[in-house]
Amino acid sequence: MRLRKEVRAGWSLFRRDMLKLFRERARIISALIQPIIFLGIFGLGLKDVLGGAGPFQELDYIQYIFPGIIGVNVLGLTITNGVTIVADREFGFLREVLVAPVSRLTIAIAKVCAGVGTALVQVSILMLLAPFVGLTPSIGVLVMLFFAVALLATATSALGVLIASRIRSVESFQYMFQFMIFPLFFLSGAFFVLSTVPAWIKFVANLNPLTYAIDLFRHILYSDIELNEASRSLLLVNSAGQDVVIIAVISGVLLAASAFSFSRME
Amino acid sequence: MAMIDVDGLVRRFGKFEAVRGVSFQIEEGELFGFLGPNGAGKTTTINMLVTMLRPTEGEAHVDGHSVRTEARRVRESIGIVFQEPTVDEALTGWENLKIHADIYDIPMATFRDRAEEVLRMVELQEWRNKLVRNYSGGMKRRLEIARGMLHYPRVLFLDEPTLGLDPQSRVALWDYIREIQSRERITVFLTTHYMAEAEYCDRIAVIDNGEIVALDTPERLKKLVGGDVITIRTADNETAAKELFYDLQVEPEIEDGVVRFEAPNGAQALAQVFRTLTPEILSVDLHKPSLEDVFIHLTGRAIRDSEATEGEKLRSQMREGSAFGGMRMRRP
Repeated sequence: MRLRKEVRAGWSLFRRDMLKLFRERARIISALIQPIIFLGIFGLGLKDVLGGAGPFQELDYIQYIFPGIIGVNVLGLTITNGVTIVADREFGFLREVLVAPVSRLTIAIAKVCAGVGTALVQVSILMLLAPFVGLTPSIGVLVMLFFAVALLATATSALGVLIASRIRSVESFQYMFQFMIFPLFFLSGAFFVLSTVPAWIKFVANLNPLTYAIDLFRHILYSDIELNEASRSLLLVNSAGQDVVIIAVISGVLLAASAFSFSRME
Repeated sequence: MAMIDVDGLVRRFGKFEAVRGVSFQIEEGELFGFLGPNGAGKTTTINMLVTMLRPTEGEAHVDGHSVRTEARRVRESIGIVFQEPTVDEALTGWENLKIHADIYDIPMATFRDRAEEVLRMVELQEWRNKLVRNYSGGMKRRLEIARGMLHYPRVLFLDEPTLGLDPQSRVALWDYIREIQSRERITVFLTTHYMAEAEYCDRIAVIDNGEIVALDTPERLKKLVGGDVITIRTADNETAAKELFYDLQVEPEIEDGVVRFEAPNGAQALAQVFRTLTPEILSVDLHKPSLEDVFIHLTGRAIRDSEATEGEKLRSQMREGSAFGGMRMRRP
């Protein structure tokens, strides 16, 4: 049975990445430092600047940026997951896999799954910070959040694989990563309310997949918070359904593109 | 049917022809060596045989399967040890074997015993639960060989298995290779640019500039050289060479400050040299032909000379046209 063989191989490659993640705990810890800094600087610093204006009379600013930080963190982590392919190529292990009787598609899917797994581990840890910003999600909310995170992580992990299959060295990956991550980051509504920004920023933000993911996280995390309709419609850009559909479509496209590109990689 | 059957294999990288139509057959159970300088086309040939690189022209069958159309079947019946390490250093030896077992679909019941067995063969049992990062270069190579053997391949490919190892590890590695070969009765295809090591092989193909220039047992190859090899150093090598050419009817070559020639009966020739040569003789050496002499005899130059000149050039071209990114060429 071809399929059974592929599943076994894929599972093994997925397990390898997870094993290495838990073995190299420094990676998890260092990935936590950035969100904490953002929460500190933006959350506590800008809170006073923004005062209690507009929707922030009801919602703490730090609670506003928390879902954004989850999104940014997942994005960074899962794209970096793609680097492991480039590193595996540099350190040779990729050859062992590429010359085995395993389809390239399996290898690419295993890598995307490892990205999703890494993201879920990371978000589990991030959610330990939630009570400190006054968010106490119920189990149901957490489950929904994990689904949403998995959806975003599928798209961004696939993007990581796509980039990795086109790039030769870890250095060039890092360069590209810096180049793309900050625009994605700041033009995503992670830090400011998109309803109140100039039209052109709004336009760019609407092209950014991260915008929809962060919007979806907000829908989920605010679902058990008391907010009046006016605030809710200011803080949330689209309906949750729209967000899900858009991210799912982007995931599908990136998944297909990365699988294709990885299979064609020489 | 031959275990490996290669017919007119050609590989071009752009305009550069790395392999120019090689053909040969390897029988089951043979230890077959591909001998040549770096850049001669050894690795390119191996990469085509293991289906990592598509031949530009020609065809090859491994264990009866075409490398062009039945890549998966070929991959299932071969084990490979590449020139560069491909083990995951962040995992233990055992974990590396486990992943291999999964991607080659070795039944779990078989895996445990087999893993123990291959680790014993290369004497790494005690290191199985240590991270590969802590292994020495020779141990890593041994682990790779163990891993390559794990799924009972019909053919084991070894690309420069002793490259970068110290002399002691090299000798030990050869013992492992020969033991594995005789014990498991598998076919071994290896490449090397170390002449002395090629002696271990049952048969050798000498490859130069992408072409096979000779293929035979080491013994018969050495007979290609006309008897014994004599090298003499004199006060005036030019004159000495001229005198040898006219008086002894041999074909001397001057290289590295010595005059080298081949003679059917070395001892007799040497006596004649002392009688007739006018320049002062500083030193003499007489030996039975080695594979190094065979290479010089066939190509007109020493293997290290061809490496320094063409090797560098070819490698840089191969790097550009490399069929897969990770293929870095490294030398000790």
